[in-house]
Parts: sequence; C-alpha cells; structure tokens
Amino acid sequence: MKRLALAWVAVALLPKASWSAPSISQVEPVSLSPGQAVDVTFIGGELTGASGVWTSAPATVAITPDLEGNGQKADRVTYRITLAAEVPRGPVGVRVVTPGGISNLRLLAVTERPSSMDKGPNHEKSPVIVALPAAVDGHIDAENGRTFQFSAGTGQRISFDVWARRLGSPLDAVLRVFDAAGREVAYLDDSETTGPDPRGSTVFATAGDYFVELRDVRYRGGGDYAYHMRFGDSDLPALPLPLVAPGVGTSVPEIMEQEPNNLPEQAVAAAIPGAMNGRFEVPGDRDYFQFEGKQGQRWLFIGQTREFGSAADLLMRLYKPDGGQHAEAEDAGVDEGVLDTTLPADGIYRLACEELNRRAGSDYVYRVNVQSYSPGFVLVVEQDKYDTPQATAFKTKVNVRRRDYNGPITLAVEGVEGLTLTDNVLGEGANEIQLTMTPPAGLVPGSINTLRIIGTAKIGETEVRVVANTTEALKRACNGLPYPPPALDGMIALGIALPPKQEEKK
Amino acid sequence: MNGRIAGKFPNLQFEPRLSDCGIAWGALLWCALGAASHAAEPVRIEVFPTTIKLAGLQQVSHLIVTGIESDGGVLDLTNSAELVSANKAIAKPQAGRIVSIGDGSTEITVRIGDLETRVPVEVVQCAVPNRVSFRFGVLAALSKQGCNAGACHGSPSGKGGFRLSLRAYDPSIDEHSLVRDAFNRRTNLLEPEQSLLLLKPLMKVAHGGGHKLRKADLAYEVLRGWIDQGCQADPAEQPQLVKLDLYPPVRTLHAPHFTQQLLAIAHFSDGSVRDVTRLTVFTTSDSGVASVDELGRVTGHDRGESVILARYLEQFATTSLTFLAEVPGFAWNNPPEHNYIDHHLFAKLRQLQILPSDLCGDSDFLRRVHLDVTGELPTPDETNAFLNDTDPTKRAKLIDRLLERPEYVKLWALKWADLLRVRSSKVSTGGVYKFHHWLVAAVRDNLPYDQFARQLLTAAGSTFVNPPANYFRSAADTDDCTETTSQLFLGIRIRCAKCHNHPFEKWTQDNYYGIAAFFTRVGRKSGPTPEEQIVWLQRGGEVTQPRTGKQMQPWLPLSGSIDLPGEVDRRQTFVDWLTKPENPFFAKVGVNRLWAHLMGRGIVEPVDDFRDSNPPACAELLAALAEDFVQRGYDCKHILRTILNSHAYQLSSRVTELNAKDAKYFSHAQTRLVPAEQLLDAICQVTGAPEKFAGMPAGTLATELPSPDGSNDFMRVFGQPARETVCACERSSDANLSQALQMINGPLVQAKLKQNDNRIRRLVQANKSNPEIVSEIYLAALCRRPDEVELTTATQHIEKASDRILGLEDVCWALLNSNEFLFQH
Repeated sequence: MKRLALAWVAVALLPKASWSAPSISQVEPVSLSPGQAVDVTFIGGELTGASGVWTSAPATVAITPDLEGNGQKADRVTYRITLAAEVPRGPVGVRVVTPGGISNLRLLAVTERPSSMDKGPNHEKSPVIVALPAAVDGHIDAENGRTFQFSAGTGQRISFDVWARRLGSPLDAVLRVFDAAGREVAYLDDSETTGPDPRGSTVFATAGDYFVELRDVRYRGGGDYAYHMRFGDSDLPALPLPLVAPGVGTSVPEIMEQEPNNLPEQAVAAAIPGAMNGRFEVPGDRDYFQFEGKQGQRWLFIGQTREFGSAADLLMRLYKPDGGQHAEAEDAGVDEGVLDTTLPADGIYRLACEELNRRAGSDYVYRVNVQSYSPGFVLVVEQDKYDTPQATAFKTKVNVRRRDYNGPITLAVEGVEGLTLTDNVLGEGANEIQLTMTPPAGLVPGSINTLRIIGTAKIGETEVRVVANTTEALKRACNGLPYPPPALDGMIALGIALPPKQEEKK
Repeated sequence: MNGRIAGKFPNLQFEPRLSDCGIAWGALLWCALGAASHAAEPVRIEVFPTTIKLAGLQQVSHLIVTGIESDGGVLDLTNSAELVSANKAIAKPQAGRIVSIGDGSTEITVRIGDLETRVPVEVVQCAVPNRVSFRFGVLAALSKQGCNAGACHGSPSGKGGFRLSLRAYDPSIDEHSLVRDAFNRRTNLLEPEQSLLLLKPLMKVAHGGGHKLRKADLAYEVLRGWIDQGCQADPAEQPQLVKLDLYPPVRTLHAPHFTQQLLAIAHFSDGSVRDVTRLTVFTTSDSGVASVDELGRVTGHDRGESVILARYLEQFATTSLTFLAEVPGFAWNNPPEHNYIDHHLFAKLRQLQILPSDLCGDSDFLRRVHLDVTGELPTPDETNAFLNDTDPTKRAKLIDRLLERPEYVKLWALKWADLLRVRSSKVSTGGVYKFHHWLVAAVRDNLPYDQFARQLLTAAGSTFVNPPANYFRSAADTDDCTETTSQLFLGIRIRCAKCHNHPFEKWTQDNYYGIAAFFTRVGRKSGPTPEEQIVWLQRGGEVTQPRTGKQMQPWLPLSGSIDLPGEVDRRQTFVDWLTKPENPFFAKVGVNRLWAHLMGRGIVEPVDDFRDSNPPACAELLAALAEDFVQRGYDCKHILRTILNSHAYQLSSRVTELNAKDAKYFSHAQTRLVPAEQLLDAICQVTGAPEKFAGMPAGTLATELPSPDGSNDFMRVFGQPARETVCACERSSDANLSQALQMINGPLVQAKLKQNDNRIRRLVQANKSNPEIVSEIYLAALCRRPDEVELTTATQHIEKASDRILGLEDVCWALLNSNEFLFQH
C-alpha cells in the first residue's frame, strides 16, 4: 500500500530562511472519483515548495500545471490526483509533503459520481440549481448556509447524503428542504448511521421546485467547514448483512441469524470462535444464538455495530446451560460492547442479542465476533505524524495496555528501510516508553514516508505480534471523528525536513 | 395507673370519637347552592352531625348549626344556637360542644328562636380509661401548635438541639426525640408539668420560638396527659388514620353572615370516626377573602372565594367557601358570550357581582393579539390596514392569520424551551440547537399535546439523533425526572415529598418514590461524539424509599400502586395513564398554561401548582377548556383560537368601579410587562434597528434564540430566565430599577435611536413631515395614531429642538418609555 507520487524539486535552491512543517486547513474539492483526474487545492500554511501528496489509496499525483505560481505559494498548492479505478467508496487520507516535513491528515470522500464545486456564496435568494443525481463539494461560511434548487416529480423519492464529519470536517451539518412557498418539507440532522452527517431520503408528494439549505447547526463556518453532498434520485442503500464479507474481511465462520429466533429454544446454532450476524427487523426483536462451551473457557464476545455504520446499540446477554443469565454487556461511548467471560460449566450456552432501546430497521445490523481470550497487550502511539530534520533522531511515546501479560515487549518499525531504534524494549511491567528513532540519511527532505510500530513478545509458547494503533491521534486530527478509517489506524507519517545548516550553506 | 390518670385529669379531652354519625353528606350538598340574594331570617335549621356517638368519658363533638332561609340561602348559626341536653348525666353541652358524661342515650335539643331540632346522642365506654395516643394525640398536638413546622423543630437539623420530623411525617424520629434523646430531659414522668416539653412553649423557660402553648389549649392537656401516662408508645394494633373530612365541604355565605364554623372528622381503619377539629391545622388560600382561627372558625372579609385547608397529621381536606355581598350599583349588563369561555366566566363574575370591562378597542386588540400570538408588534402598514378594515369579523380573521405565522411557532418554541431547560449547560451546545428545532417543528406541526408529552417522556437513544431524549438529559436523574414530570405535566410540585410528606398537600414520600419508580430505569451514557449522550432503558432497577427502606412499586396519583413485572418500559404505562382523557391533571395543566400566556394569569395560579389549597379561579371554565382540549385531540392551536376569540380575552384593560379590585377573575385584561425577548424585538421594530446576536445570522429575532446562553444584559434585566428550573416562575415579570435605567439611558436603546439607518432617519431621508413621522412612530410602537394633543405636543417639541433628528429621537424615546409601550394591555 505504498502510494508515493513524489514530484521532487530542488528544494535547496528555494529562497527560504527556515522550514516548518506544512499544514492544511482547507481542501477543495473534498471528493475524488476513481479513475478521474481531479485538481485538488490544498490551502493552509508553509506549503511553499510542496514536493508531493501522500494518499492512503493508490493514486497518481502530479502538481497541476498551468496555474500561476502553483507550488511557490505558502498558502496553497494544487495537485492533480487520479485515484486508481479499483479504489472503493469511502474516505481516503491525504497529506502534503514539503521540504519542511509532512502535513496534517485530511480525509477526502471517494465517490463514484464526480462532484461540482460550490464556490458560493449561494443562499435562498440565489440558489445553485442542480440536476439530480448530483454531488457538490464546498464549505459553509459562518452564520450562513448554502442553498441548492432542484426539481422533484410527484411521488419521487430523493436521497440526501452529506459527508462532513466523516471527512474530519468540524461542520455539524443540518439539511433542510423547503418547497417553493418556504414550507419545510424535510429536515435531516444527525443520523444513527452517520453521526452528525445528515443522511436520509424523502418522498415528494407534489412535483415542483424545492430548495435545500445546508448549514452548520450552530451557524458556525469557515474554510475548514467542508462538505461533500450527494443528491440521489433513489433511496439510500441499506447496510449489508453480514457487515463483513465472508472470506474477504474475515477468516472465521460467519453465522447468520435465522428468524424466528426470538426465544431460547429457537436459538441459531453457532460455532466459536466465529462471528454471529443479524439484523433487528422489528422493534423489540431479540436474536438467540447457541454454542457449546466448556467449563473454564474464557471468551470475548465483541460487539460490532457503529464502527460499520450500523444504527444498532447492541445489548448482549449470555445465558448458562441452566437458563440463568451469566453475563451482560452493552456498549458505551465509542467503545463497542465486549463481553469478557469465563464459562462456569460444560453445556449449551445461549447468547441473546437485542437493540438497547428495542429499535429496528434495515440499518440495525450487528456482528458479534467471538474470540478465545488470550493474554496480550495493546500499543498506543500518541501521534500520527512526526517531522524531523534529515538523519536526525526523534522520540515518540508508546503506551502499553497489558492484558494478563507483564513481560518484556520488543518494539520494531516497519515501512522505512534503515530506520534505527534505540531503547526499544519495554521492560517487565512497564506501561510506556520513549522510543528513539533515527531515520537513515538516505531519506531526503520532501520525501514521503509512512511507518508502523510493531510490538512483539513471547507469551507462553506463542509469539505475539501487535501493531501500535494511532486511533486517538486520528480522532484528534479529524475533529473528534469517533470511528476513523481503520486503514489509517497505526499508519504514522514521517516528514523529513531540511536541516537548519543547509539553509546557511545556501 | 390508668385509674390514677382518669382521676387526676377529669377534663381531659382528646381522642373524641364519633361513630355512626349518620352524616348525610349528599343531602346537605344543596347548602352550597346558596341563592344570590339574602333573606333575613331562617325558616328551618339543620344540624351536623345528625346523630352523635361518643366512646369514652369527656369525649367531645361539635355541632354545626345551619339556618336555612326561605330562598334556600344558608347561614351558620352554630354560635347562637341554644343547646339543651335531655339527660346531663349522659351528655351535656359545653362551650357549644357536646361532652360525654356517662354511658347511655339521650337527646340534645338545638334551638334558634322558634326553630328547633333534636340530635340523638349515645355514650359508651365511659368506664374505660382514656389513653393518650402518641400519634393521634401527641403528634397532632405538636403539629397544631406548629412545633414541628419547617421553620421550627421540623427543620432537618431541628432547633436548639431538639429535632422533630417535619409535620410528624416520621413518628419514630419524634418518639426518639421526645422520649429518649437528650437523656430524657424533655419529659418529666414524676412531675409532668415540669417537663421541658411543656415549660418551653409556655415560656416558663426561655424558648427561641416564643409563646406557643397555653394551658387552656387542648394541646397542653394532650401533652401533659401523655407524659403523665408514662410517655407510652402506641400499640401496634392501633387503627390507622385513613381519611379526613371537613364539614361543610362547600358553602356560599351572604353578607353580612360571613362566618362559618368548620368541623374536622377523622376516619380510622376500624371504621370509627372522631371529631378532631381542635387538633386540626387550618389555613386559608386567600387571606384577603377569608381567615380562619385555630378553632376552625372562618370569617369572611370580602367578596370572593377561599378554600380552607384542614390538615390533621398526614391527612388533608378542604372546604370551598364563597362569600357574596350586594354591590351598590351593580347590574349585570349581559355582555355577549362569544363561546363557552364567556359563559362560564361571566357566570362566575355575575355571581361575585363583578362587572366585566368593556370590549377593548381595535388598537388595543391588534397590539395585544400580535404580542400574544407572534411575540411581535404589527407593522404600521398592518396596523393601518386593520384599523381601516370595516369587516365585523376582522378580529377572528386576524387571529386565524396570526396562528399560521412562523412567528407564532418561534414564540411557543421559546416558551417550551424555557420549561424544558434548553441551555448548553443542561443539554450541551449542540443539543440546544437540535432540541430547539424539534420544539419548533412540534409547534409548527401543531403536534397534539398528548403526543408531545409522549415523545418527550418515552424518548430514548441519542440526544442528537432523537432530540426529545434531551428531556432525560436536562432531567439528569430519577429525582429530577420525578419532579420535572410532575410539575410540567401534572402541575404538582412534589419536590417536598422527596424528604418528607408534603407539608401542604396530600402527597406523601411514598407517592414521590412511587412516581420515581417509572423513571428509575432510564439510563444515560456517553455517546460516540463528546457532547452526545445516549438515553437508554435499563432492563432492571427499583426505587427504595429512603425512610422506610421499602422497595416502591410504580404509583400513579389517584390510581395507586401498579404491578409492572418484567423488562417493560414503565414510562409507557405512565404516559398511557397521563394522556387518558379522564386524567384529572394533564389536560387542565395544559390548557391552564395556554390560558395564562394569553390572559396574564392562570385559572390556577401559579400555573404549575395545582393543589386543593390553590383552587382555580373558575373551576367550571377550567373543566370546560380541558374537556374541549381532550375532545379536539389535544389541539393547542384550537384552544388558543377559542380563547382569543372569546369576549373575555378581548376585554379592555381599563378597570371600572365595579371590577377595580379584581385581580383574579379576568373581569378586565391584565396589564403586564412585555417579556424580555419580545420587548427587545419590539424596540428593534419601532426604531427600525435590528439587533445582531453573536453567532446567529443577521435578522435573527430575540424570540428565535435557541437558548439564553449568549449574555444579553438587556434581556436578563427584563426577566429572561436562565432555564435552570422547569418552573414557569423562573421568568420574572417584576419591575425593577435596572429596567428603568436600561430604558431611560441604557446603551441598547440609545444605540437604536442613534443608528444611522434607523426608522427616523429613513423617514427623514424620504422627506416625511414631522407629523407623518410622529404618526408612524405611534403606529409602530402603540398600534394607534396619535391624538390631536399628542401630535401637537410632539411636533412642537421637534420644532423647538436644536436638531430635528434629536427632537424626533426624543419623541421615539418617550414612547419607548411609556407604559403603553412597555406593557401588554
């Protein structure tokens, strides 16, 4: 997954006294279509001499030609990005690289339909007319919204899907649809599936012109309040069941619920380790699964819902062979529910899954991943990017959350050839370490590098290998996005800056 | 010991018992239907109770003697009746009461002039020594004397080291305090009269609470008797107090006969009844109309209605008394009745001989209805159009139009946002906007009130995705849910009952935790985003009454405890009960809020304080409105429209000699300060200088702000609520000096007057003459044209001014500071 498309320039010749890492505050547009070349403008600071753009999905990148001063301006640079045709829908990460280092992460939406750019200002008195289906990218200004006009036929269902928070935008979007008389006919705000991003569809009883107002719910705005909005002429697709395609995203047996299974005696047979999948079809739906367990076995039942965009808030209850309840788990905050339990006796156990508030619908899908418990650890890196002068050591803090293992953990780095580590062993019982990394001299300023930190330990007779996560850093980088793209988790960007003395030589 | 007591205290009078009194409550109800005119002499007398049975020596029963006049009117003759016993060895009259002397049967003759009637009396168990009941004697006596009031020893920490449970809600605390606490120093078994419990309230020993007891009081006899009997606890098998009745339950009295003796009768679980009048605490709901003394004697002071609340231990009963008097010059003028509101209200006014004011003029109506329905003033063009309109139905048509205006929606969203505590500290900053929009949509769509309550009270899920769930965010725990729901939708301020039985109402601590049991399973947890909260339904969880340690079943007012096994959402059961058409609270509380908004005062006032001791100003009207509300599917807009179209709503605020004293019965429009947000918007409208609120789009009105989070001194000074409580009283309508300073010389008003593109300057630029500009300012501010004197005065002032603009500003400033502008009228 190396997506380096670097246009290396003679950075030493650039007239600059000192170098700082670049930053991006705004990107236009915020969507890309696979196979289509899109000129993407990055707006921010310290962008002079940009040498390339890192993308988390396969792409070809080149600085956009024929733009006056492109690449020479500190506040903006434009690159032509062509995503590979096979890149699936969803968010993709980008960073700009300069001789000062590598920028903060920004997310762009990958969409099958090219977007038009909303240049604004357009409001209720001068709406932008769109023909459905359509997609628009832009940003929201403070105390103002954007207004779009479209036509709907009698009985036509039209869908709206706003990507903002899912792209790390601070925009807490609200979408209102008005008829020509100014009556509000639809209102979309937060959604169980997409969080703050409005998503839904409405049927228009009367043919005519309608107006969509998109704004921040608190009337905030600015260049970074970016959005990508899709107008569809049909309903939105329901979540797939199972959430993880068998054989693609999983290697364990995926068991599907089969109604009726609302009663213990109707429980669907499942094998563990494995995954149990279902959908809450009607309010109050309860799905039973059963499996054979042995006394003393310790299992983790990991609920998975919202990280896949499901609306379900999962409540799991495990019942003993005698029918009594043994354990219960429901999720809290962004943590999905985990039921960590040791079985008290041999026999048939039943797992009951239900929606916490007894809701139901096509988006109320769940997966319970059942894993055998084993001792181990989790590694957490506090930053998702580092900038360091060429061949200069830098430190990063790695935290450890141990799970019944107190022994040493050896850290290593993957992704950057020749990078050396010192003090890379977490001693017995240690829960954090300041890891010193020194990039090789061959990594030149303006180069694009990503790495992962790996921890290994021998626990019992098993060699355990763990990739350090950067989840919290990604959340911070994306305005509190609760579920950052999994593909970006653990991926640490390394920017190489010109050393100060090089500037003196110049 | 009992024999010694009986011999020592021959006059001990407590635990008076009445059995089988033959009380014909229904037959006597006609007494309430007193005629409007007053006849001088009774033609008949009636006595209550009609039979007396006394168990024990020196037991007492009052006799209420009522004179019936030829026209059906009634008067209390208790104090003037002559009582004669046929056998004084069995029972005899004493100070207007009947006292038992010995076992047997006799008869009391009640005589008023030539009229007389007889009351059979049976006396039993005179040989059985009397026992002073701790609960029904001692605790009742302490309550009667006020010893266990909240300001005295009933406060949580007591007073002077002596603590009693508030109004005797917890006998175990009281027994400990009286008998065992402080090394038994409060009671002296050897010399009962030397007990501190008696010496202090007698002021024989210094007492911070003052002189609270006299030897002539029954309470003194009871307390001394109990000490003398050895401070005994009550036997476990003692009957329970189950009910208190107050006689007469309702009565109309005609001047000059404005007195009425009351009789309080306690009912016990063994079927016995006792006259507890002298140990009952009486209070009046309106001391301006009537007062009541410690013996239950009511004295009327003025025309009107008053409820007398009687409290004996934890039981309450009320008597509703109406006092009528001929008013010189009063003649009912048959004002037209536009709808049932007028029918009921005018009947009440006619009965009380209060003449309603005339119908208000078009200008007053226009301004009033605009402010009440939309929160805004009409524009000068709208005013001109309305004043020039000769259509006799123009008021009704205007009401219909205003109820469809978007400003109506935002005004009522504001009112509900106040009550539901929509502010960032309660529901988060993002939650404010989302919850506020839900309220806007609910009002806009005229969501039926029952569905509105249901959506709030059964909400679950994310507070951002499902904004009604914020109800359980601002009401952040079970106690808050209990108190908020009771006050908002039942009009019951039940908070007091959290720690003890309600001191002024029938709600007990058990009731409080019984309601809490409906909400105890509401769970709250963090949401996926930092500000978000998830409201969810826990599958189990019960409420424990902290005093008794008892697990409480869900309990519904006037219905009782209910069994709700399993994992059901108990809130659904509560809402099903709440929104039933026959619910005695829900619809009345709802229409009362609507009425209060339009009329400036609730039929029950405060609007969220429904209780027996706070009766509606017109119970028939409240019932009719509630019935209409239910029948029309809880359609708020329908009720508003009905009220707005009534003659009562359109009465003038100008009082007459025949209604000047009325502040309760809606005989004239109630003037009141325009609320803070509306006042600010009105100033902006008159001056033509809109206010810009930080973070909100230009053109946002004060009434549209989703919360009071942004500091605005002007609105705060004029009573904008902080939304910390669910009480409607949090919005202050009191006038204060700061308001005057804001209007006279405050920066906001000054800036509006000086703004470059304001109304005055635009009119000047348009070459309007001074009279034209003055007229437009009058139309904008007061919804009327200036009269000749006003116009001349204003014009002369402008012409004399050194600067024309300054002169115009002066005129506008003067109008903004006039009562006619500042008040809704």
